Amino acid sequence: MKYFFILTSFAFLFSCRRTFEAPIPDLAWDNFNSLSAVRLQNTQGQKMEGIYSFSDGSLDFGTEAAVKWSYTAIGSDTTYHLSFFCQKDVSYFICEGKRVDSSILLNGYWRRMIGTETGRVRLTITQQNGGAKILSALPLASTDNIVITGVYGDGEAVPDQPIQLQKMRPLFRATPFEIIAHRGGGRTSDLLPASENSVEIIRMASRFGATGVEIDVRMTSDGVPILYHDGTLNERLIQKNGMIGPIENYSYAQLSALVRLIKGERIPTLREALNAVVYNTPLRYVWLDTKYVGSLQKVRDLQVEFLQKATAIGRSVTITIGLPDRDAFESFKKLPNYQNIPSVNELTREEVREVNSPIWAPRFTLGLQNAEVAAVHAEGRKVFVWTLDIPASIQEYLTNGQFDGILSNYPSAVAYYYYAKQ
Amino acid sequence: MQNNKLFLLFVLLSLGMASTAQETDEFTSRPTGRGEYSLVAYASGGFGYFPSDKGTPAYLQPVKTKWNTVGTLRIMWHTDRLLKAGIETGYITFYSYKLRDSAGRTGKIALNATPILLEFSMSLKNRFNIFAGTGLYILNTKLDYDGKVNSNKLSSGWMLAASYIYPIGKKVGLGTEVKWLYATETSNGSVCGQIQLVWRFLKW
Amino acid sequence: MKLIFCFLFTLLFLNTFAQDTTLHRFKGVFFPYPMDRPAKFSVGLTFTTMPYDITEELHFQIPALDVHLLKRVSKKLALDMRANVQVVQNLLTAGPRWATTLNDRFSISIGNEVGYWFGAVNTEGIRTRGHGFQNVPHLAIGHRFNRRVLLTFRAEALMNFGIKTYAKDTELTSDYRLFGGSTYSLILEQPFYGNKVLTIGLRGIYTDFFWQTWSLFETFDRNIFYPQVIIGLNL
Repeated sequence: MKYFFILTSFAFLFSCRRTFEAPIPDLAWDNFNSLSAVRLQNTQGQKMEGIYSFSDGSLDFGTEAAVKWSYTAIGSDTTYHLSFFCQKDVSYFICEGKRVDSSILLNGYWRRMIGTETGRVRLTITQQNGGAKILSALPLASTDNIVITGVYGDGEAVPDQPIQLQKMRPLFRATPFEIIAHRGGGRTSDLLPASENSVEIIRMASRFGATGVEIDVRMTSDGVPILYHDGTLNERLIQKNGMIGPIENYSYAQLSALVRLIKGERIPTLREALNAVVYNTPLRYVWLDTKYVGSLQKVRDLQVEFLQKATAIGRSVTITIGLPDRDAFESFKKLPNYQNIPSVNELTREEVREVNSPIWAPRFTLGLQNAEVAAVHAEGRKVFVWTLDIPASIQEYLTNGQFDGILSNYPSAVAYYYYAKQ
Repeated sequence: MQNNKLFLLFVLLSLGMASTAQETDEFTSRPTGRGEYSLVAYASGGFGYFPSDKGTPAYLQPVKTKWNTVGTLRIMWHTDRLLKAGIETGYITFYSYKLRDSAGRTGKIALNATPILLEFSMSLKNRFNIFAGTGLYILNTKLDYDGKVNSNKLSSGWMLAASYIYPIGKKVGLGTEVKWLYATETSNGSVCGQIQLVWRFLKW
Repeated sequence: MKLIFCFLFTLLFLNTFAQDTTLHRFKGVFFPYPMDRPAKFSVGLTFTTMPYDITEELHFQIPALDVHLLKRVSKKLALDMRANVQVVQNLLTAGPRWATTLNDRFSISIGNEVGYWFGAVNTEGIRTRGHGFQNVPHLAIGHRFNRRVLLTFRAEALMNFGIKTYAKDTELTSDYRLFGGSTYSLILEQPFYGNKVLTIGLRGIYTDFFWQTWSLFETFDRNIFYPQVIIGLNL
């Protein structure tokens, strides 16, 4: 019997499949939540943008961070976030800001994306360290110094490890460039606060550094365009409910009522997703990745409708229909006047010309392709590369490549390397 | 009621086959002699119990049926060693439940599977055998809510079993089997209790 | 999952009461035992279940041909050579293994294998390739049952270095995971038919980087679990 116990203990060892989680810690902070603390205004937050250098905290976050201000608007309620895209290990902080007297408090969490590490961040910009200048109505002068000090901690622990950052220079913005978040903001396996391809993750994408999103479009059995990546309902993406098999087998009413994504969201329609992009976020680009075989007319109709809606509220948004394979390409060519329909084309340059796609999108494993990219630029088209997650490659493609955008699961890493350019 | 009929048919078939067995030697799962090989069929029917509460989310106010019918057919290659190899297939309903959505509309979901498994078996005692296997499960959802849907997907999976076989002839035995069938795709597993007819249909 | 593994291991354990002949003595390539013959050879398959985190919706068991040769150097020392072959990507390992008996029933081995994996896939005419090195120190303890059925528990440390991938000549990845993970295997080797010995094993791989997934360019720094089934025939 002793062997039995030895073996079953090994069995226990084998069966320890770890499940990974990176929950946002409790962000309660008395000073930040006090009645005297007032939310920062948009103009104040924008003044904090820039490239900052770490003097404390560099062991975990690297030498520098690109600091970027963003918003989420739902109805009349607008929430602002200050994101710190750090140089090391695809790490970032996401904070909300308030003023208390002449100081600024930044309260949020940090996350190391390639792992599961997360924790609280509490930062302060005192009156003397630039707080007063940020809060004043006057614009910042180039000589104005900003120093951010504070603490961070692991998980739910009270933060006690020091951070200090000093503003070095403004963000690089010399060339127009799209930072495109994969699956609306990131994959479910990236352990983000919302599920991939949900309205909720689209609303968060700007906080992760994105200027645009790629979302996956499929069709229900009754012809409703929805957002979903995989070919089938599975435990990776939805809460288990006994429904399996191709998502195209189910009607929208069935999916909407019976299915919840991993974080509890409903599977959104494409209409709901585009509505979120146009009305809730500062995102300016949408890549509709076509994941089904069939007519693209309904997707085209929504593209027209939401381009008009964006224009109507004074927003410049580009929405392109993705052509990832020959099936989608042939379906696209059946649309009336297809050569004037904005598309993002993953096929060859000849096929890009054939349907007059304004964007060519080669896979990153094809290399930098500088000559080919230059030739496409000469035709007045842009080139976005996908899906680039390795930080060293992101830096390489930004430094030595000629691309106009990068699709990534780690938009924060692309944002850092892009804004830190000089 | 249909399940009861199937069960009765199975028992009658078993008794019928047993009554035709006139030999004095008993069926055994152990090696019959050096260099002797045979193929043995195991036809089993019974019920599966789905122990998990996962798979029936609370937001659907589920009323779950945990006991469901299961039928399997297995062919094992009996060698002159105690270790045997073979394949198994069949049909199982892992679980089914009635649901009610937030608007009060009702429906029903059933998750079924057809396993196709490669198995190994070991005879521990003269009548007691254990089995382990891996392979494919053809998973199937039957949904009845705002219309009917029949949807399939392939999954990898496992099985484990222990059986007791009572010989009722030289080639035939009647057994009971406790079996665990598990599909990895949906992390669904059922414990099954089956009555089993065992028939050594080919020997060389 | 836990129940399944417990049950399967119980089965493996109980299985060890099988019969044997002298032909099969210590024929196992995994069993840690001094070499009683010039060489031992097995051929089989490994099936590795790919986790959702890496292969997403492709949640299948990926097979690989597994060829294993143990070549006697001296009584206690052997050269352990193994090839894991999927044609488009392959792993070759070789290294010394020193084995000794502890008593009549138990024996142990220690060893170190150095591995090289390489693979290539073509995407739109562009050849994407990858290669890397592994160093795998390992320790095994074996138990010989009454009738010489061989049961082995083996633990390995996985050290990955020189992980490089290229698109044509452009370097895409250059990485290393020095303490990238560990594996734990339980392997049964016992007579099957004729004088052939069957190997059935379970291997739990916990690693930051699994060589068969190089072409997915995954960046996770997480010890992800890959269960592996090993089936082999010792010839």
